[in-house]
Amino acid sequence: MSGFVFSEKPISIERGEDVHLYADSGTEYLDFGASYACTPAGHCHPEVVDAVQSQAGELLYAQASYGNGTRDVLYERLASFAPGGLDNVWLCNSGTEANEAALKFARSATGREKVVAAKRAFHGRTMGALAATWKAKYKAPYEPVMPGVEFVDYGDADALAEAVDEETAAVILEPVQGEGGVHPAPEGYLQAAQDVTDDTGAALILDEIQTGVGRTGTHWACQARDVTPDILTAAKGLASGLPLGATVCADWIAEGAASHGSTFSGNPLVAAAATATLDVVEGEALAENATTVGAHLQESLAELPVRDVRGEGLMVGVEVKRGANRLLKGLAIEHQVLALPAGRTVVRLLPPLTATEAHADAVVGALEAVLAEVSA
Amino acid sequence: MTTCTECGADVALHDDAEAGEIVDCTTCGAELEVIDVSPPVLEKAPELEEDWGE
Repeated sequence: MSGFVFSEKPISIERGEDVHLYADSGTEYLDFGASYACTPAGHCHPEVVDAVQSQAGELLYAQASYGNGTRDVLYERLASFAPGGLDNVWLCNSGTEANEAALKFARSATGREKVVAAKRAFHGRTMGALAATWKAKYKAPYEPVMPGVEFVDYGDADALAEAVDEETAAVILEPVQGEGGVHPAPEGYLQAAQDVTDDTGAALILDEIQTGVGRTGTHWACQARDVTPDILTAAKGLASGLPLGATVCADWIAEGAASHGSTFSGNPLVAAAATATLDVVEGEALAENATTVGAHLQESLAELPVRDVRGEGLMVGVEVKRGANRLLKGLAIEHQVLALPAGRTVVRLLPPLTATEAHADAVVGALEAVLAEVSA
Repeated sequence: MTTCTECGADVALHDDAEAGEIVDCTTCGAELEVIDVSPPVLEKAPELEEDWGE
């Protein structure tokens, strides 16, 4: 028996430490994808490992409908980490589940069905989140997905205002589109989304699954725009790679949420990892480091022969003329740098937030070399 | 300007577009390969043989 779905790559990862991963062969890789942006504190941060090991000796899991002190600590930690006014937390196991819950809560709290999402959006692969994901290649083989989703051009506040009405349950947006090519929301766009949802009684869902936990230079990307959504969703880096998603809601959403549940919701092992991760991100000022190193990275990348460099903090996209795929292969095989695509033409860099300018310089050098190799 | 082979919408190419580039249709999201630039010809992009993404 063997796994399927994921594409096979000729690298087997066995160990991680900070920004590095180590293959079974002993080869050291610079992980500038942070393994799908899941390790903001770096791989196996000692404080996170200690928290997990300590919790593992006490309790791995108990029925989620009973209370648990470790989970309660995370509830409090998440509420203090989240934008003001969002202190109702639903915990699940992944980003797509967090968005699935957000859509369900928005529908039950508003009594409406319609959802407005953005072109190029990626919100996950379960049937509701998938419906709000734009690209046909993710959806077409699985149709019909959840009905009632309308797509508008990302960044066009007028189109959004036209699409949202008194029938709309939710607007769901990424503050910086990730999978869609690393596109930050233009100035004023999220504020316009907040205004139109406030005016119509719809819920504003901000999907911070990739942008959150300090990646863009603030705890959450919406904070840099002074926008507080009705629902914020998080996952990926929340528990340093252990499976955790969170749907963080305003009071009116939590009060209107109907029955929902998940067996592993907030299990203590993952909760311990998450609290430790948030402590490290805040205690080591990693969001601030993301701003500093991200600016240096973007400045250096702009010197390369590429179409565009864009992003926020340590969420950076490099748009190239030819496909990103062979650049990613060259980076990994020839230069031991791991990165991600964002669509077919964008190399996406999402390193651990502990990355330094020296790491950034090494990656820029490697990318410069593979660009030269590809065009040779 | 040319048209998407999947939905028929207009697709704008960069001035320095080259054969072999991949572009996204902004209307339907289809991934298209530039076959020629003068005049512009697009085809649905082939699936990656070896995917270094997810």
